[in-house]
Amino acid sequence: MRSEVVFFEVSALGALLLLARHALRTFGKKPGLVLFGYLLVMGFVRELIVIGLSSATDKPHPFTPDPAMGKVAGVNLAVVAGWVFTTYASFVLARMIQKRSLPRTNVFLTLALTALVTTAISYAVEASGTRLSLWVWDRHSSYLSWLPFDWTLNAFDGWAATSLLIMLPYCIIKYRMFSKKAWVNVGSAIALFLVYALSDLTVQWFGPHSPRMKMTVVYIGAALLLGFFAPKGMLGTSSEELGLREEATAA
Amino acid sequence: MPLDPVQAADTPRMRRPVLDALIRDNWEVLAALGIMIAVLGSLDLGWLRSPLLLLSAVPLLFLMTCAVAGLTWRLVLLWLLSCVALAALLGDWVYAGLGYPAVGGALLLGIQRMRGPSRAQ
Repeated sequence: MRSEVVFFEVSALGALLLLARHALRTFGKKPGLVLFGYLLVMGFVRELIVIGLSSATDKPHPFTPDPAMGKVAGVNLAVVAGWVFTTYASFVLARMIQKRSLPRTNVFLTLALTALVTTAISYAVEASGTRLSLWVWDRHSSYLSWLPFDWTLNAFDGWAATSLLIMLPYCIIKYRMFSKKAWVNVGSAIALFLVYALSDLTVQWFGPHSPRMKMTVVYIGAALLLGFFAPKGMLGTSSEELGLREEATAA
Repeated sequence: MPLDPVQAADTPRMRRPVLDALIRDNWEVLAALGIMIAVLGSLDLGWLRSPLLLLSAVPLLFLMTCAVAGLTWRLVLLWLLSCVALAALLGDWVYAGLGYPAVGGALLLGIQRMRGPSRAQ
């Protein structure tokens, strides 16, 4: 295995263990394990969906990770670990920003900020990772012209959408955001997930070019507005459990 | 005259303990992101020999600064101006794009200001 791949993987594992420690310490042992397990499963499922869609639509997989990084059922484990790392770190950093500077906002803003933080992590990782051929983008629409280092539009959209869509169902179900009845929240989470996943079928409204990217904008825009203006009834126990009632200390 | 809770939390005396607690409660996440930046920096310098790639961490550094020091108009302005200055220095305006999270931060602060201080959640 190439030395840079080993260096990257060992360091990433160390960083991931730190995040696991944080989850167990701050969320509690059982909820922390549940959250980390959920992130692992969703990262795995996300990759399976991408592989499945690629073969179903007869299009190549959008990116190819270095084969030296281990695989299970065709899914690259380093990529799954990457989703866990990115989603968790983004969510916590988003919550820190919010608690520090944006008083009287709610979990929807945490989710919108999570997507923003994810783009920043993605950018740093993609700029180096692709040059080292840790993975190669096989299919992408274009590069973002307003940033240096050739960041693909697929990566910009894909990373942000993934962390948002992983944390959104978790928050809805865990904090019973839409109802006290668990099944209503599970149903809402599945519905929101499916609406996004099936957005390729909305070409007649969104046009033929990347309807999923446009759906990402709709989701993030909605989360942003709800983050400031959502009624209490939509928030469940999220504000108490995430400590978002505390006043900000800056701004 | 006593300060209301919002004003009180914003005094330097109150800010310090809250900030300390925020960092103490989340040091693993900040450390993990620090490791990530250090590893990518080592790869950029050691394997790729491309110091300019270090700049790809600028957007993340802005957000980490917001988490620790707070998102303020002053920080947003300073960061944007620094990115513009960097772009002018490097002779390529595309580097000004590195300030994009600061634009997002300005949007959030703008909405927050429009909403006003009295609206209860």
